[in-house]
Amino acid sequence: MKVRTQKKLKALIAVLILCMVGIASLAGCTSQKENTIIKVSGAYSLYPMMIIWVQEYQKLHPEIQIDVTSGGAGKGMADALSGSVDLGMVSRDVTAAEANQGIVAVAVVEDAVLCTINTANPVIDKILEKGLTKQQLRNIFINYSIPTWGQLVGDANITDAIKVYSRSDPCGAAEAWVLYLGDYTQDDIPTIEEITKVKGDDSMSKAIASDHLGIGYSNVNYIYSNTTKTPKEGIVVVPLDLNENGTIDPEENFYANRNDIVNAEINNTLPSPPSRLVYLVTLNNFTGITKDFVMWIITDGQQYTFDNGYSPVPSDLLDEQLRILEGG
Amino acid sequence: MPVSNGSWIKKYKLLLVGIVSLFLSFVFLFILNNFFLFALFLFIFIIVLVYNFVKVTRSLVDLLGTRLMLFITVFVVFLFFLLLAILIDGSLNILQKESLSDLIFSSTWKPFSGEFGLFAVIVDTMIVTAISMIIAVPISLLSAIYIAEYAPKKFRNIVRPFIDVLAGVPSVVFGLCALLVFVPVVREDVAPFFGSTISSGFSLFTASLILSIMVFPIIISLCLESFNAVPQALKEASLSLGATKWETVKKVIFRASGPGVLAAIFLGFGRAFGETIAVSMVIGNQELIPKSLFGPGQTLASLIASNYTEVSSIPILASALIFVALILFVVVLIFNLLGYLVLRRASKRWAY
Amino acid sequence: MLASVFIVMGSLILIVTVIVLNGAPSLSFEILTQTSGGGFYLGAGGGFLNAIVGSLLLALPATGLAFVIGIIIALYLQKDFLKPGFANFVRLCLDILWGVPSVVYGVFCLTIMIAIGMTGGSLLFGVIALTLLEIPIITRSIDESIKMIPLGLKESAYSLGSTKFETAMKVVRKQAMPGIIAGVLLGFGRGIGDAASILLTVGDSNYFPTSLTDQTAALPTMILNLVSMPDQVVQNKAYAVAFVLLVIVLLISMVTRYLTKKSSKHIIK
Repeated sequence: MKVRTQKKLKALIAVLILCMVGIASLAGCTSQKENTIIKVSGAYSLYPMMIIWVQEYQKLHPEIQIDVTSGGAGKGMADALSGSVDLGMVSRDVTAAEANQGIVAVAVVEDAVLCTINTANPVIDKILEKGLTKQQLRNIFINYSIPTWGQLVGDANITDAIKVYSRSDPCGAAEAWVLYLGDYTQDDIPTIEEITKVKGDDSMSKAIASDHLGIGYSNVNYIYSNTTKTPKEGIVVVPLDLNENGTIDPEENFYANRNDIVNAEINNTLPSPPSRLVYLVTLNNFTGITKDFVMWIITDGQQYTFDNGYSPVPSDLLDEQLRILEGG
Repeated sequence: MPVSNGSWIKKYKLLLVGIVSLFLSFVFLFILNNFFLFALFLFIFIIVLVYNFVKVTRSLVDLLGTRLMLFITVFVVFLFFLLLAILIDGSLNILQKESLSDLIFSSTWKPFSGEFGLFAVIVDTMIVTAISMIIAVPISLLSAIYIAEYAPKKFRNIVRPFIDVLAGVPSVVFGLCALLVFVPVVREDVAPFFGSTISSGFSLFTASLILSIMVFPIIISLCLESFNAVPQALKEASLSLGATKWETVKKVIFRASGPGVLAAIFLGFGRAFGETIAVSMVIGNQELIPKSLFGPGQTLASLIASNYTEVSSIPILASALIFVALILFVVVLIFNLLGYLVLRRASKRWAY
Repeated sequence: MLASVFIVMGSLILIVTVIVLNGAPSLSFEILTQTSGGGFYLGAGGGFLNAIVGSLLLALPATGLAFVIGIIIALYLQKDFLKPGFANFVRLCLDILWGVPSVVYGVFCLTIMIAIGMTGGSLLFGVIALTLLEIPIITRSIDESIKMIPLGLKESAYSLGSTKFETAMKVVRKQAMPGIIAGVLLGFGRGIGDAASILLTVGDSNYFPTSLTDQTAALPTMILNLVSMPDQVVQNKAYAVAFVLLVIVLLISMVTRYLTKKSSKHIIK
């Protein structure tokens, strides 16, 4: 090889080695990390809200850096358990096993999971008029015992199959939805070919929007467009027949606009579940700047919830959250 | 004793380097709190010290160098067994809780309820790998033959880069393309063509398709190497005896490069069997055996990718996933061993 | 037969076209020079510089380590040092390690991480996983090119009194240079693009990692994150990241060809 190329190569190798030493030297740094970083990760459903909170909080405290990543509620819990984040965003209840390992949770917003169908559904008028009861939904999602849309609404002429969609990844949305139907867990949705399991909330919205026979469930913020506050193109929310009287009364009809849903959460006209609390969890207890941040979230931070599609923590639960935060 | 100026200055320089290193190491330890750099400069200081007092001959360098090389080689072989050992150790947990037959022959995978049946996933893995190989092997072999024997030189020079680049494309990119292109095509065109109207596009078939594309470059480039290694004289001899080009290819080139072709296929199989990311993006992620190729499923590798986030919440799940990784490792191990033995025998039989 | 070749070439063209068409519109100076904090995942500004830096910080040290280990082993596998029986055993081990799916390396590191309680992910374990992944690739590549060195060259070196170690370091290494470079680049390309091994081991972050125990973003994991976000606009950014990865792969391929051609002119045959 020409001497010049050889020299270039040697130089390149020397630079590379220097880089590696440089990086490795970062490892040796045992210096105190200035305590101005809060790391957060977890549920996709809380992610947009957290970003807003971070932006507002950093206006007040510019010296604090908050690193927020998503990855799902499962990741949030896992990261909190291992201590690699200060706060995990978790959209389901903490299990006993997790609590035993020291997980502490503070509710920071209320969110909801709703049932969705396509705008071109063959029986859409009947469904919007009558809604669906818990038992009917149970038969669709858990028992898989209603094969056609016609059978669902009592019209034998319609023989289109009901295409059920669920989530394949362990998620808070599925947990909340099956909890509404009864004392079930996500595992109770059958693993059969006829129920298509999609990965991620967005895949669910897409699937429903493109399948006129589909039925599924989603977080509020994945159903409604952030700009128009109405359901996304192709998606319609199934009204829940809460009082089981076979029709949707005016006070049960709050699905046209995201603001109506949030108000329903606040007024409790939408029961819990399918509305549910979303938590920030940490290991052992909340301390230092993390505690200050969460304190701000459940007090001043609550003013930003409505405009982003969430409802604030119910006032009767607020005191308890403060108590948990203080480590009581 | 008279010491020439040159070597006195050299000795002085080296000692200086040593002292500076010692000083720097303490700076890093006490002032900057960086342990690694402290260790590094301490190491340099010691080397300098040793250098000053030990007669460094070429044979010493050779001895030390060779010993070091041996150490590193043994270390890597040790790593191989360490990998196996740690995988086995991690699987013990779940093997104690559930019997092996439950794990392998039950189809129910519900980690939250404590059920870890892998049968459906194992069957899906076999189906997907088999189909992708069925698609990939003929196409790759024919392509390799064409490139090696029939293609004009200019064409060859254009195609080779294509294959190299295809080999280097990361699996996420393949997955992304499959998501965008293959999933809708399977859902709207291919599945209905074969009579299935309810396919969502996320299916075993889609996974097999993208896997076969990922396997093409592996088989082709290895086959090309083998084909090119067949001596020209052999080919010419065959042609001079009146064989047609295709007959030459079939009887001479394939025979002569048989071991290489087999090795290529084995390697391709390994890739198809173990591919994780691209498969998990298009296979539907459902632990069941679908009624048709156009239904969703899950392979062993994509199972790990779909479930790893919950290992902290469900500790025994970690053990189950480690067991799955162990299965992957063992299968690849067996296949490679088989391949090695088959190749040794085939080489002897097909030697020319 | 020609048809098969066209199928193969066609698939590459398809992939490149899809990525370029979808990725190019989202590419901009901004997206390449900013990090992903504050709304990148929600459609606002920002970019994936942290993923680029993260991937480099993962792949460069891993390739460097794997290179050092790989070249030492490859040199040692020559007949000069090891009996062929043991050398073939080592080669078999390396071949098996090459065939092992990268997710197994991820699980291996995850197991250790769980044992020491660091399940969140860190740069360190990402580098370890990638190094393990790259060692067999680089070693076998270098091994193959060393095998092709004419025996006569080494014998001349020995006859001039050079020790085994010296011959290995000075003669063999230089002769095998094109193969070594090709092997290293191949390993690097694998390291920067592989997702399964780092998915389990590095976590995620919106900023640059500042120490080996930090989590970090990386190009492949960023693609996976972007694809799962609700906004179509955000999902398109995944194609931009894929575009960057493709460009890197293309560059590596071109550089390998160029260097191989250039330096093989000067090898003694």
